[in-house]
Parts: sequence; structure tokens; C-alpha cells
Amino acid sequence: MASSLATRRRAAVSVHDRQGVGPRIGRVIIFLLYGIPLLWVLATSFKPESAILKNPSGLTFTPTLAQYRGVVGQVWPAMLNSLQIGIGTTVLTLAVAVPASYALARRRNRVWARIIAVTLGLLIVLQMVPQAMTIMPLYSILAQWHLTNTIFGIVLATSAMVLPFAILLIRPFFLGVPVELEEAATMDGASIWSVFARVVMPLARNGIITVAIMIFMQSWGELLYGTTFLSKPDAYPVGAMLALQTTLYGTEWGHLMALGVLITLPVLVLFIFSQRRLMQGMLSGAVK
Amino acid sequence: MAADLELSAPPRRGSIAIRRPRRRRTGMVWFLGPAVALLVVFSLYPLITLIRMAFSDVGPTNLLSGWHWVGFHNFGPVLSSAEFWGSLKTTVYFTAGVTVVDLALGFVFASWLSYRSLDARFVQALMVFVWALPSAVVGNIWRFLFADNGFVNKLLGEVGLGAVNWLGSAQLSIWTVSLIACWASLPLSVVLFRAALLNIPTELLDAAAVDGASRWQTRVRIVLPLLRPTFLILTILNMMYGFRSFDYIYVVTHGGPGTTTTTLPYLSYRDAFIKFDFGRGAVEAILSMIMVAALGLAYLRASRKEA
Repeated sequence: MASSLATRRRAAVSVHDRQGVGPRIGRVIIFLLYGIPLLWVLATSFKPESAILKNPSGLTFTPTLAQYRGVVGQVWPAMLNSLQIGIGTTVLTLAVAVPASYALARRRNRVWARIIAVTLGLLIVLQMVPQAMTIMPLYSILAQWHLTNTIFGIVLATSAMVLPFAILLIRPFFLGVPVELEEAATMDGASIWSVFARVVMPLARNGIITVAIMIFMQSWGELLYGTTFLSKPDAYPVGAMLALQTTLYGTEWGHLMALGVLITLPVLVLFIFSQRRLMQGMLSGAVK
Repeated sequence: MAADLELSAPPRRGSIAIRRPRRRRTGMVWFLGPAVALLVVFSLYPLITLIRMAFSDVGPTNLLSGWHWVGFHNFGPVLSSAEFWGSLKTTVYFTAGVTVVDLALGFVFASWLSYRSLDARFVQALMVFVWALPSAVVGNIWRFLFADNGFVNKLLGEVGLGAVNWLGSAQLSIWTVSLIACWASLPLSVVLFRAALLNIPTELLDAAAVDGASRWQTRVRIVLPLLRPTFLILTILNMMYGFRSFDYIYVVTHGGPGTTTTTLPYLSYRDAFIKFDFGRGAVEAILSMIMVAALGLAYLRASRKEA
């Protein structure tokens, strides 16, 4: 027993802590692959357009804020639109997904168990439908309800798109809440709503926050609905606005890179506060 | 399954207990209702409409009403067009590129990152940040770096190689876009592989070391077989991702040059929204969805087996 403990300790050292040069060099390679492109873009956004025209890859230049001054008037409205879409989608999705995840985590009886099975199947199928596929029928529905060219229309469409993902990710957190806890609260006379709001939901807080962050990030950069359902470019959210630049001013790189940096800033801020959660979300989103 | 249900059913005790389950069930309907309503209107109904569209004669004049049921009439022209098969081939290339690179580099990068050191954590955070970037941003970053006189070609020039027409060449462009998609999706593979690697019990690797296995032998004989489920799930996830890919093609190449980067989702989008041939776009959408669904079924099986 004692000897096995000793070897275990040695193994832990050899596997996790004592590393050769290989992994270190490897991490430098990854940094070059992921860090350099981002730094390059950042550097270009501070470069005067004339210097970029002369040599897009030149390293010597006098940093300037001219690019940022040039794009701020254009990026600000788009960021406000995206902020509305992001917050609207996150709130609407959570408002329907959180109660639904709870309902799908509690098998009250045979009938309800059937409903759960059917709904989960439907969610998985709907999650697999590629976004670009149903865009035509979605467009005609929104048009009939006069919701094209409105932020609310985009919010509805985006919420429906991310809803299966949200439910499938939140549900396991409710499965982890012991039913005895709810029963105790019910005995004390609490209604089903107050059991849910006061007892169960706080225990699933981690999952809910993780999903909220992932939904906000996804709807912030959403591209296809923005370009298709909005016809006036001044109403575009950031994703659509950036995609439009591609076709109009393809070669004004400095301009484009400054736009990209500004659009990324909110993602960066959110990322700094939620890195660990984001990683957990990636893990549970893929393996369910 | 049945026993499980029996267990979770509320105990029957006295008159209160009989009333309680019913009240709860109606309560649950209100919990689930809004989500189902949203999905039925904005996901399920569009899906059904898409299927109807594929079997109808729909053009710009009768988009909103008056569709004629034409059976499989729309399928013939699609299945006999070189464009459809060409874009299927493009999609397969694109998907194969993404899957192979993501699996191979995902495993290698994850082994480099599965240490608890500060720099490992920093590099992984960097990758996760890239994963969270909007696709329009990623697409434009690489459009810039892959430009004719851009950063990548400058690097090639530094080491004495000639410039490459990354996005303008008919042969190369699909692989370039595939590479961009890899760059953006690789972090997911790395995070999954890394978690699986850290899950391997140290005792196992320890035993191998005691038996005199080299690092390389341990990796090939012990680690790789243990990661089989992760490989399986990531293969299918990446293939689904490849078959659904739209954003990078939309932002970076618009399907061109010519139709060399027109994958199935992009073809369907183009035929419907640029050429206004809705029936054709719907048929293409449905055919590619069937392929995604087949992959999805495989994914469900794989993840159930793993769990």
C-alpha cells in the first residue's frame, strides 16, 4: 500500500509536472498560430491607410488613431443594434429555456415522461438543422407578421435558433438538484412557482450564467439573420455590417481591422470575466 | 426505463397526494409551453415549410401564397445538375479538411497543453478567446492575412518562397477556407481532448512507466485507445460542422472564385436568395440536411455509447 502510494506520487510528477522541452516548444507554436494573427490585426488597425496601401505587411509606421476615428461613427450604431439583439436574445431565451429545462428534468408521471422524451428528441433534431436552410420560410413568417426590419424579429429568430442548445445545456443542472429538496419546500406550503424560483433555480445558477454568456456572444456576432432580415444597412448589427464591408470596401484593410477590433472588444471583456465558464460550456455543450 | 418511471412517480398517500400530481402536471405545462411555442413557430414550422417548398412550384411571384404541389419535380434538375454534385464534392473536401486537421492538431495541441503550468493556461485561454470571436471578424482577419500582398505571403517571401494566390486560385481556395474554419474550430477539439487527457488515471500511465514503456509507447498504446470515444465524437461533430458551414464562405469568398468554394449550404442560400429559385434552393437544403441528420444520428449513438 505504502509503496503504491509512493509510485503514484512519482507518476503524478512525471505526467503533469515534469515536462520535456517538446510541450514548451509546442506551446510557443500554438502561440504563434493564434497570437500573432491577432496582434497583427491590432497593429494594422493603428496604421495609417497610406502606409497600408504602400505595403500591407510593413512593420515600420507611426501609430495613429485615424482608422478608429474614421470608423467610430459607423460602428457605434451597429454596436447598439447588436447590444439590443444580444441582450434581447439572452433574456428571451433564458426566460423560456430555464422553466422548460426544469420541466424537462422532472418526470412526474408516465404521460409527462413521454412528453419529455418527445420534446428532447425534437430539440436534438431542431439543433441539427443548419441555420442557412430554414432562412427562406423564416423570412416569410417574419414578413407576414411585419417583423422584418425590426430588432425584435431578429431576437425571435435568434432565440429560436439557440433555444435547443440552451435547454440541453441547462437541463443537466436541474437534474442534479435533489427532488427531496423540492418536496420539503412543497410540504411547507410553497407553490410550484416559488419552489422553482426560490429553491431550484438558485441551485442551477452556474449553468444558467454559462448559457447566458454563450448566447450573448453568439447573438452579438450573428451574421446571417442580420443580413437577410434587415434591408437597411444602418440598422445592421455588427456581424452583418462587417460582412457588408467585405463587398463594398474590400481593400481598405486598416478600416476593416479597426472595425474588427472594436467589435471584438465586448467579447474580450466578457471573455475575461467568464473564461472558465466558457470552457465548461464548450465541454458540456459537446458531450451533453 | 419502466422501473425508473415507477420510482420517480410521487407516492400515493391519502387524498392530498392524489390531488397533488395533477396540479403539478398542469404547472409543468406552463413551464414548458412558451419554449415549445417559440420552437414550433420559428423552428419547426419553417422546417415543415421548407419541405413543402421542395415539393412545390415556388418562384418570386408566388412566394407568399398559391404554391402548386409538384411532387418530386424539383428534385430531378438538382440531381442532374453538375453544380449540385460539384458543390457536394466541395463540401466533402471542406469537411474532410476540417475534420482531419482538427482531430490531428487537436490531439497534438491538447497534449502540449495538458500541463498545469501558467503558460499552458495562457495559451489555452488564447485559443478559447479565438473560438468566441464572431465569424465575420475571423473571416476578415484571414482575408487580410491571406491577401496577395498580405502577411502570409510576406512570411513565405522571407523564407525565399514565392507568393501563393490563397483565395483567388480555383484549386486552392476551398482548402484555404477550410484552414480558416479549422483555425476557428480547433479550440473546441483541444478543450475536449485536453479534458479527456486529464481524465486518464495517473496510475495507468504510472504502471506503463514502471513496466519500462517509453513516452511514445505510452502515448500510442495507452493514451490513444483511451481517447477513442473523444475521437469518435469529435469526428462526427466536425463533420456536422463542415456540412453546415456557411459563415466563412459567405464572408471570405462568397462561394468563389467561380463556384469553387460553393458548399451545399451556400449553394442553397444562393439559389434561393440570389437567383430566387426557391424550389431548387429548398431541395438542395433538404438533401444536405439529410446528410447532416445521418451524421447527427451517428453522433447520438456515439455519445450515448460513451455516456
